[in-house]
Amino acid sequence: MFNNSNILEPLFWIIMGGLYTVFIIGLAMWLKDMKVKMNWWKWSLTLLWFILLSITVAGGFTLIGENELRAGLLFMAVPGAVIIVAGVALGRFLLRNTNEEKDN
Amino acid sequence: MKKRIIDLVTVLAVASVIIAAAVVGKKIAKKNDLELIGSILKPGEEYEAVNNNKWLILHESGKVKDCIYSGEGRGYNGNVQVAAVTDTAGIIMSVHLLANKETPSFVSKIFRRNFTDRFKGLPASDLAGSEVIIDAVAGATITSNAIKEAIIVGYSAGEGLKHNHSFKINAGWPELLVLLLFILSVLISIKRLRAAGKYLQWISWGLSVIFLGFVLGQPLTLPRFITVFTGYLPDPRSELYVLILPVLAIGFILISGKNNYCMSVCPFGAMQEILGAVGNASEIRLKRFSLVKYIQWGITLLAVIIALIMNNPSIAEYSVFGAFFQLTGATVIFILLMLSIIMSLFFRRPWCRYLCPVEGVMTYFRTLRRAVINIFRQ
Amino acid sequence: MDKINRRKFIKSAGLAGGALSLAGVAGAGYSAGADKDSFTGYGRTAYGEDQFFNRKPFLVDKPTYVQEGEPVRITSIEDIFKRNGELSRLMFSRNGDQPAWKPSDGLDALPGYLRAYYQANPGAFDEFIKAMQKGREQRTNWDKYRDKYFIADAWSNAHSSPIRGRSSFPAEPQGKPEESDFRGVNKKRLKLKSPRHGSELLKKICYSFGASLAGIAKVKKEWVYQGSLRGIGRVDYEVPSHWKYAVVIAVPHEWDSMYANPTYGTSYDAYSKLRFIAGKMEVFIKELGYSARPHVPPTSYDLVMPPLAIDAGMGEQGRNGILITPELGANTRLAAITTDMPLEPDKPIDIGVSKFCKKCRICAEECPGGAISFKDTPGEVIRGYRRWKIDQNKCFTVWNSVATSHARGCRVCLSVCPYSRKNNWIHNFAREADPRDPTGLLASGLLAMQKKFFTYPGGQEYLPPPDGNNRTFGEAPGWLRTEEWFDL
Repeated sequence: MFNNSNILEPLFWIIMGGLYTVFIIGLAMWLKDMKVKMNWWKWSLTLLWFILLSITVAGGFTLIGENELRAGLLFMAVPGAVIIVAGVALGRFLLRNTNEEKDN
Repeated sequence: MKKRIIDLVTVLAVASVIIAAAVVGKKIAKKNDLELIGSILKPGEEYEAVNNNKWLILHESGKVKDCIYSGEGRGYNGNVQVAAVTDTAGIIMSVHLLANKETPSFVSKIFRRNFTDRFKGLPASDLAGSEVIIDAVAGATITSNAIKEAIIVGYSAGEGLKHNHSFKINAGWPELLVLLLFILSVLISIKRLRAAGKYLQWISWGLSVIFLGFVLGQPLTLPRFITVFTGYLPDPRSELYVLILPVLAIGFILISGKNNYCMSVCPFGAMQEILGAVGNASEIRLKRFSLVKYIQWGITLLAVIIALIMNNPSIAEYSVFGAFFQLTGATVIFILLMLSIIMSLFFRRPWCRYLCPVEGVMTYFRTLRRAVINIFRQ
Repeated sequence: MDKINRRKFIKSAGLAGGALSLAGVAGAGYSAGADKDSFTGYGRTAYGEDQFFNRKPFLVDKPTYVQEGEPVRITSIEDIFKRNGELSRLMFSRNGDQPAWKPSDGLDALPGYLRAYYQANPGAFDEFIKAMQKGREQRTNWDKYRDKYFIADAWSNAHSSPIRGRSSFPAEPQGKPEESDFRGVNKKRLKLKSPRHGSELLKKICYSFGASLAGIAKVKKEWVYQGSLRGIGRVDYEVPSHWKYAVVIAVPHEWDSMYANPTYGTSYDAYSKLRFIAGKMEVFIKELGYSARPHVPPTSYDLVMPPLAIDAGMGEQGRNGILITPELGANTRLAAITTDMPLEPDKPIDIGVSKFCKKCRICAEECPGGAISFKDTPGEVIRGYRRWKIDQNKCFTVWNSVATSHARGCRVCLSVCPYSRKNNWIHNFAREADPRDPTGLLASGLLAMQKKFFTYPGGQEYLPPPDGNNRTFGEAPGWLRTEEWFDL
């Protein structure tokens, strides 16, 4: 983020680490409140999805930084669409049992 | 009683507007060959016509410097007129696109990919004898082949050679696929097959998305209908299924009144169904549904009229199919596409319902059928 | 109550954290892309860090070029610059004499060896006449573009200044190689621990002089020119026995100007740098007590560089005929120093370039002159090696056509090559993953993205009007644009 700063760059990644921690703790609480039973592979799927989303966003913006606006936007749009669809599918999968409970 | 009259009036009104637009379009002067040939000459160059397809560029001394051959090839949306400049030995020196009705992005792709350069330095006679293979530009195959054909036709006609019009129709898997998809669409609609029909429906949608969509990349679009309407048929030798598709789609709706193409064959419709299944999409009920539908059809009609007046069917292309299956198109189309994809996760077939131009065409034919049947009933 | 509020707070903080982290990677990605320091080379390090790609997994015993039949040495007349040099000596008198030849005299009035070349290569002479014609147009049109490319031209001229004239460094060899290569060699010589030590040391010194890449190759006789030898002139000769090894060095062009080819870029930035490094290497090797002869751009070569560099494990040959390296892509400029110092040659590498080029064709599609072959596979056997043919005559016509002050080159095939990319995470993924993928699927996928996502103006567009629009591949950097610094 701050390529030529020896101070801001590590600070940036420390803050990023903090944000990820807060995000995962918050996510766990959301899932618990929504009565989603999580296990290790469900967690890995969820985090994998988030990592893929992050990589797509980072990749798109890297290309935009390289002065390739169109390439960057398309890079985000094409895999982005797939990831959104996969996210909706994953969300439905995780929430499936909870909905049934409600229905019953 | 009242509805009958409305149907009839609508059908006749739309038909007359379209025919009027087509007549106006034809009347707007088409450049003649001489003007077109003149446009590729350098200032001060003189030329002399030998026949309808061959011209000579002359030196000031009256000696022959170069030859121009002009001919037409069958493109995607209409004939492509091409001039090839050769030296006196018949070696191609440059290739010029004189007139075409192709999708502008395809044409610019062809130029950007140096396609016309691939002919430079080749003897025109070798090309006409089809001894050379020239790779078409990927994603613009029909237009590339049309340019090649136009050069061959121009040279053969200019030199009075017999151009071997081997009219062999190559039917292959694309044609079988289109037939299969329509057969499946009929099977699915048979009520007795309901349980199996559901599986067949999914098989059909899957086949359509993968093969008709991603592999072939040419679902029905508005320009296709317009070209057929103006009497132009693409070269059946290269892409027969492109012809079968509109014929079957309209045929089904005229005979049975059922829109088998949109419901079952169209790859983007199938894609929306798949996305809808992923997101558990629901039906939406708009309060002013009919108004939205009229806007959708109105836009389609407007696009048809403009394309006919401008004499270029490709102008009427505003569907997202190209953007989705081939990643070509303007930014606006991509935004429309993204919206359609995300919407279709939550609502069933948003593109078909509110935007698709093909749906308008299909509805027109359905109304036409109804109107005709009603006349006979009376 | 309090507990619920805290829970609510953490839940919303979690959402905000997720969103902010996405914004964070977006920012990190953007700055990784915009970072000028992620361009490879240009003296950023003196310790070989620019040669960052680990070649070990990709070392092979045989280079990836394909030999077919008996190799033949290239005669100097087959090289367009040597040929044009001969022609210009005939066409432009040095001391007020009548020119010995002018184009209107035609082919038959040429000396036999030149005539023989043009007779063996039909079309080449016409193309030369066309290039002359285009050159005249270029000079007349230059007034129109002078202001726009004012800085670019000045920048290029500054870079070419150390190359012009007799005082250029390194000096041209004088006399026989057996004399000139040993001139100034230190009489005192220490015992080298091993050839490996020799190679290691010379490469380290190359890096310290500013080379981005360095490699050692054994001199194969088929890479040596025939028909003329620097220091002597036109002569048929055997390869001197003391040209045992070649130290090959590579530097890139300054990247931003290179992407703005053809009009903003120049060849001379890399040329002058290479001459400086190679000339100093000559002195260094001679100080160690061994013979040395530098081979430097633009035309002071006795060896053909790309195959030599392939032997030295620096990269592979691309469709555009240029050496493609993992670090610099096609933005690679080469020089070499031949020596009899005992050295251990590097092994060639196979990172899949020759396979990738079969699929790609971007350079052929973007070449303003149509000089690069479109064939699926290398179509011709040239001097005993199967390769894609480059039409050097058409290439040179483009030099004479694009909007530069004189025939300064084009280099579009360097800019558009998918391998010519920055040293950042996204391109390093491609660099490292593609050669390890035996199926080639990744390469196909990446290529599809390259072609669909990125904007390529197309061959014709680089030419000046009326043929094109003076387009450049990338946008010119601010520091090369006249309008940002001067009132027009």
